Amino acid sequence: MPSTELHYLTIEEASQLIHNRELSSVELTQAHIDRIDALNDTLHAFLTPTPDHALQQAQNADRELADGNSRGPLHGIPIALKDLCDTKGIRTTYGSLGFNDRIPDSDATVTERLREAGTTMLGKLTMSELAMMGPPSNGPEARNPWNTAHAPAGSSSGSGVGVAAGLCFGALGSDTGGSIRFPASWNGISGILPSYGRVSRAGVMPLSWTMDNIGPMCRTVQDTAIMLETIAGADPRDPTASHAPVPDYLSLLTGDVSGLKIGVLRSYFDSHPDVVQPDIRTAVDKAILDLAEMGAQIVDVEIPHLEYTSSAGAPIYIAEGYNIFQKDFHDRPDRFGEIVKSFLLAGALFTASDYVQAQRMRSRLKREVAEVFHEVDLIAGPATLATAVSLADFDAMSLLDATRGDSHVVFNLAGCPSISVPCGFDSAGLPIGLQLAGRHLAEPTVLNAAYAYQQSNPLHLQHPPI
Amino acid sequence: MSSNPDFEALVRSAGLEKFGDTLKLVEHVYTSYRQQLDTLHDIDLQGEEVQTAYQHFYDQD
Repeated sequence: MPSTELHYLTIEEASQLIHNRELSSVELTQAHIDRIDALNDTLHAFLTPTPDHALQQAQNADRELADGNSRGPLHGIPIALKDLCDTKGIRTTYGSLGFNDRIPDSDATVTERLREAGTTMLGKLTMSELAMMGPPSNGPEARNPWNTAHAPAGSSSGSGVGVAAGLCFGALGSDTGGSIRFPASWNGISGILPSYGRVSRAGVMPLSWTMDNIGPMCRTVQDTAIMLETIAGADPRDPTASHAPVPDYLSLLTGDVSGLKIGVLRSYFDSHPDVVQPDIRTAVDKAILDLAEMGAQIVDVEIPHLEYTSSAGAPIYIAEGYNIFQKDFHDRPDRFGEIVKSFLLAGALFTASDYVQAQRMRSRLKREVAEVFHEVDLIAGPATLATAVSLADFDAMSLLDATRGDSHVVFNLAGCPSISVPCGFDSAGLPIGLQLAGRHLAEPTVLNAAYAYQQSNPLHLQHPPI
Repeated sequence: MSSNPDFEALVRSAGLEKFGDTLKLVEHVYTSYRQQLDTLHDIDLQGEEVQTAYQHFYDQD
């Protein structure tokens, strides 16, 4: 098979070839290393490629398979990690000069689980500094492969770009307020924010202990399900990791959505008509109609205090983030970028009463979201409110707009799973994402609805022109 | 620093004076979030407690 065809295989397809011994993990990994060598100077998806490490793991994977031992569907599959997942002996910088030489002495639990599953780790991916909204301070910003003059979205920027451009089969991202779903949407791939507690955060950089989540980003929903199942589950190193059993997500993808009740926040978006780019609203409305034609029932729903989501969410993660990085900022102020400092230092100025009031609003929102999920199985809407902006026009301060993240951050606050799956393109050919959110621990329902949509609208088969 | 004496006082009380020119951006960010927070303080949240992050799943495990 020509190496150009290897990059856009699905994990399922590549795994089958490897297990049938029609393709070795070394061949597959080397093909990806070659592609990273060819494209990374343009896309900057990888901050720290680790080709020798990946090839060593690939050789081990091939040897094990030759001995008749398979570690499962990810055996020999090349993946990559956002540069906030600790990797023993490999620098993990959080996208910041402040941690540019940081070399962990142990793996994050998610790193360990992917290694134990037999993956080959191609390197550490570019990210927004400290998982906030600006560029990294220790390397170039990643470029959107659909148009390299445009932004990839953050903070899991390299994860979105790397997967979309065929530089790896899957990647991990983190999502405190949209940082998996936004780059998934802008790069035309799938990415899931898991339920709070579904995936261990041990060994992953914290930005906000109460809002952070780790999740997979892949080109297909099936691949996303495989990676999520691999990393999910209880962990003695993380007391917030849920003990709920981890389902076999892949086997639960039936593609049948008949009888499913899907809520739409129609009155919220009608009352904020300028919030959503018109062609996004058109594409998302069409996607929801498609789900209805597949047998889902669509109903209008309301989260009464939704418009206060960003007002509550931002002070929580900014105050927690300031607490986490306070000493680093004060000890080494010149090692951190202006954008990350300007946002997180504001966290020093909120009062204890501000933080408590924000958390109480979170409790209200969580209650209201739970009430909606008594009536419906899913809430559908746009995964982002605009398509990828040009890098020249990007202004981090525009992210202060209180309406920017209400319909996304609300699921971080409520601890509910939420996926972005491709649902179209704007007039400039930039991807649009559909967000589907479900009850806490209802990942099977979320993934299955996204799978059903993907099967009838196979946009995952379209790849960026690079 | 800032022309706003209230913001200057806040910066001093938080010990952020050393951040120099960055404080202009901090003031912009803080002022925006302050306005949003003020709207939150106007809402009656009687009956709502602060839940720990752990409760997100302990209630549902």
